[in-house]
Amino acid sequence: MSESLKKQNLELSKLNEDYESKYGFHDPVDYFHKGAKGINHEVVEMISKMKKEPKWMAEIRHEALEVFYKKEMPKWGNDHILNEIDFDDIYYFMKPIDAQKDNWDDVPEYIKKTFDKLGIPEAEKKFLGGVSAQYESEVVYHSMQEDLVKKGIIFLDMDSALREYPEIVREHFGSVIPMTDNKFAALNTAVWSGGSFIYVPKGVDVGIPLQAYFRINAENMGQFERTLIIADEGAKLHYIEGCTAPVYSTNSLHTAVVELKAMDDAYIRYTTIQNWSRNIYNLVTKRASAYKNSTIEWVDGNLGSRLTMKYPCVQLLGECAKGEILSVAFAGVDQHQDAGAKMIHAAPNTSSRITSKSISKDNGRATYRGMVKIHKNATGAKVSVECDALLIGEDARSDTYPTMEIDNDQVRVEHEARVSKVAEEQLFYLTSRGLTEDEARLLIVNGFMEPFTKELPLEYAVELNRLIELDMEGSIG
Amino acid sequence: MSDKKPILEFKDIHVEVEGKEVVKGVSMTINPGEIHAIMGKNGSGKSSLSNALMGHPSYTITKGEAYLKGESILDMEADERSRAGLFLAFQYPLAIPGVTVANFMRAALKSHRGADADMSDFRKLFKAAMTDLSVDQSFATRYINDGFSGGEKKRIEVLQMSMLNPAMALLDETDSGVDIDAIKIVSEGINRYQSENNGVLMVTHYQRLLNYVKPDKVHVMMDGKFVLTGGPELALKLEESGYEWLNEEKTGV
Amino acid sequence: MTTQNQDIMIPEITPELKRGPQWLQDKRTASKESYNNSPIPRRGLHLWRYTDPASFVVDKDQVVDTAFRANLNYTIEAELAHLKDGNLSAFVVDKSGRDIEINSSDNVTSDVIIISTLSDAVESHFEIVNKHLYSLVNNETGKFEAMNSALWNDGIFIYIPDGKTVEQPIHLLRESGLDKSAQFPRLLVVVGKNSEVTIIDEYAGGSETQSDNMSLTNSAVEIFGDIDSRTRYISLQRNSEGAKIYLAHRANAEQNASILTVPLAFGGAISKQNFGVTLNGEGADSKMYGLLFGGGRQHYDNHTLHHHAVGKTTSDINFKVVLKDKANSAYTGLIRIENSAKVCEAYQENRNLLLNKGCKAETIPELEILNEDVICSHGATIGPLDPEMVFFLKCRGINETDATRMIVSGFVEATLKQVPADLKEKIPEFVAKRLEDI
Repeated sequence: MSESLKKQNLELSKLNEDYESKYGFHDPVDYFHKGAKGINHEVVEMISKMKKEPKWMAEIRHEALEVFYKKEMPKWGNDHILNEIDFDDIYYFMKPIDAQKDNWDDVPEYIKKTFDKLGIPEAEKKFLGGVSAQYESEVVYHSMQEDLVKKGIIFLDMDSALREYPEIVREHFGSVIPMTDNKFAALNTAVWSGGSFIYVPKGVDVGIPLQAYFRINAENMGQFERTLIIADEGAKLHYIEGCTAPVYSTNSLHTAVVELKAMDDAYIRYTTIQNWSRNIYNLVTKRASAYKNSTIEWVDGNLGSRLTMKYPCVQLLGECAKGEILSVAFAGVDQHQDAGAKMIHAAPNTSSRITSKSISKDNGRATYRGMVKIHKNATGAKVSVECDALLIGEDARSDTYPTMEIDNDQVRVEHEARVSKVAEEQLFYLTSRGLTEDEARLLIVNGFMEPFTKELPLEYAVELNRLIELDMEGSIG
Repeated sequence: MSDKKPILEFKDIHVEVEGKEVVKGVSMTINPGEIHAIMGKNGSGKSSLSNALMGHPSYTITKGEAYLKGESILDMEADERSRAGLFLAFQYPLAIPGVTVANFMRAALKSHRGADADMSDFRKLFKAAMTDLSVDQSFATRYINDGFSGGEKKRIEVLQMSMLNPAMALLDETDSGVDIDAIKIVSEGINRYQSENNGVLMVTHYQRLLNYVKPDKVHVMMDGKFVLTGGPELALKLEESGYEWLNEEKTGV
Repeated sequence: MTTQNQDIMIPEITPELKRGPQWLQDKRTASKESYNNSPIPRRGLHLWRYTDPASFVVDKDQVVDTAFRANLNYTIEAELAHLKDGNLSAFVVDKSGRDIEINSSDNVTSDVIIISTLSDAVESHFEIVNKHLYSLVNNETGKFEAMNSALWNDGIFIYIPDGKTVEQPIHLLRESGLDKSAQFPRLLVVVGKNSEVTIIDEYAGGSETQSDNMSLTNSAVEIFGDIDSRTRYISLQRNSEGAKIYLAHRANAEQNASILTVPLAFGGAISKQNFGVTLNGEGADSKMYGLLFGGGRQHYDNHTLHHHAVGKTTSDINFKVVLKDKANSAYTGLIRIENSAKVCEAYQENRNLLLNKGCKAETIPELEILNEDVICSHGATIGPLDPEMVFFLKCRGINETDATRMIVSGFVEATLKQVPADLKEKIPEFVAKRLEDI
């Protein structure tokens, strides 16, 4: 093993050991606006008023709040942890500054420091076409390369988009994920703030990734960003999001809604590396509609949070549409990653692939929950699902709950799952070549994650390798 | 030659796969007792031609005629063509889990002889065929091609041919993926089967098989067409000089 | 908690409820209360997603009907002759879980097999019955398990003492009544240390057509394999076209015990069967080879459970589904390996073959793995017949229909291999019958 690889792997072994010093800091902030805790129509009205929204959006918010009240908590996933959530003990809206900046120098020092520490401006310089940084409820910094603007690409935070392109937002908002979809989608619709809005015009290839970074700073904060991405006919786009939060003793809530639309022949890849601190409930609804010949790819990495419940979905609505979901979950101490994928085949000759990789360590629990549905008219559909789970430590837990509902006989559906631990023979082979057992185990785990990391832009792969919580020490059974 | 009527005759055959034309008008006449070979590089259309002649649903004959012993076969289903006397030995024989070779052969033979046929001689025939092709008797109870080696699969293909005794055998790359010992066994099987009353058409990439089964005629296929037809010496020339000189020749014309 | 509709209470359709010793009556009463006090399972809830629980509720109109009307492909006389010839150890005819007639082979003495009605066993083998009955399927297992636990009239008791090998199978024929009938058969099997037995549990009869008055059969099976025992249990469900079937099967395998379970399902209108084996001692092994062949408008909802409660245990499931016409099937299979159950191996496979448009399959192969020291995998496929296979066979002169039949019988072959000789001739008949009109 080369020295550099060795070093990288050793670094890997200490991943997130330094979470607290690296991401876990928090800023003593004087908020421009900090509402009261709890959720009710007044809070919703206040958010809407602060944002000076059109009336129709306010109406949607209030309606969604009613849906939220009525909907039951999900009975699956981890209802034990879910029921810990006290909706009355959460701040639903916090506005850190009075106005968004597009020049880094204008961002307040304490926020700048935060994102500096997280390496955002650096990354922007290096390889991103545009960056959006959200702090609590609002996007505080936003910029995009000029040539992308010239191509007609719209990349804004959602609040600005609503102001500047109300018709587009109105047409698509909630069209992929209706507020009635689930309790948390309803909550997001009622109190959403921030998030990204992207529109890529016909035939335009964005070329370099666009990125948003989400940061929760305050304790008991709820972040409810709302993202809507539309790739018009033949357009191509790669969008990346990352997220972190400080470590607190009480828990915060992150409930996003992400809607993607790939029109005919379009391509969207959406990459998430979720590294929330372990006191965040991460309950996110992500869904894409794929029209004729289009491709949607979700690349979804879940490393942080106390509980994540997230099942990116692709609705294959047009003939020959393709969906791909690559999902990786890492569940360490006290974490439950309930992640998965949904593929809805509603048109002929659509194809999809789901690859799920999970690592459960210590008493961590990783769950794959999947749904593949093939409707009557989806003749010629092809689906392949592969789940791999790696268990490290005596108390690690892995669950696999795939559901396949097939309503057409001319289809091919394949599902495979394996659960294993790091094999003794592999360890022996590597240690016999001079690696320590820790190094060997890391190498194997890295190999296990490889199908995921190789899909990330290089910078992110390196970042991920640092992020993956592979504190392997003491895991030797 | 006892019968002047050709065993297999096809004229101006065009074949399409997934909307793409892969065979672009080929003709051939095979008389009783004749052995023909089609040689060509991968992708030249030779396997498509044999699949199409057998009636594979993915290979559409868009134009042309084909007659087996004077009878048109293009409107027939694959099983009807088989019962009419056409046989295709597959390049990649398929595994069918759960169906034993013996049960399959019995069903196949019965379909050829008719529903009321006396099958009391089946075991004897089957055993003899297995012995001829050095196939272990245990294969009778194994599932078709399930876990068979390349050579085993090809021997089982030839075994099927010898039992069904077709008028016309199409052998698609029967030599590919097979070691020299198996080639000898397979060739012996083909030679045993071959007679004055039937026809053989071998589709192959290499000359190798032709050392053991001597063709009367060799057709060279390129880009969906026969570009050259000749005697066995043509196969030797291809073996020595490859297919490249054909390109020159073709462009020269 | 949302309020549920007031459920239909268990009616007093079985006067025998008050029979038996006090402890048994208490169990029945507790079960009845459990049933009456529990809501009907919610649709969409795990295991109830695909079948309406209301299908299995009984009402006052329902009767216990013991008229014998099963449409069998053999005669009782022939089966009794089998018994005489020594090809069977026992042949039991259980009419509606009430009238139970036991025919034992002369070759098998009562020190090798004890087989009797449950009501007799409660007296004659009090300790064994008291120890085992209700310990795997009871009022807490689920609402409809509580229903059986409360309402069973009489059941079958099979006990193989330690160190005995029962060479020939025991055949149980469980007959359901016609329209409006409800029956609650119950089976308790206790296989002693280092003993061996094969049981063919055949369900037949029931309503012949689908209507509002379809017969209901709610059966409970408890099997105990003691240390080093070998149990083979074949469940053959070939009820009539209009029968509703609910089955709860649970088995327990102690140290080094092996259990083979073969669920075969061909009949019924609505069939929900739940097969589960708990591996309770080191070295225990469970294999399940299931086959379901649905046609018409049949609805199947099958569950399997392999529960590794103890380490060094192994399990394997292969469940095959063939569907045609408008039949539908949902299969949910769970492998659970407990935290303390180190060094386990568990495999699961579910293959679904759809023979035509209109049929529908669901598969939910689940894993719950609570420790790292396991080897575990599962696979599931859903698809039509492979057209390449059909073409291959057609190239050898076999027509499309025969080719289809051949491929399907190949598909089910591995499962049928597990069926004991006695049934081996009969099962392919069912498969062939299903294939007739393809």
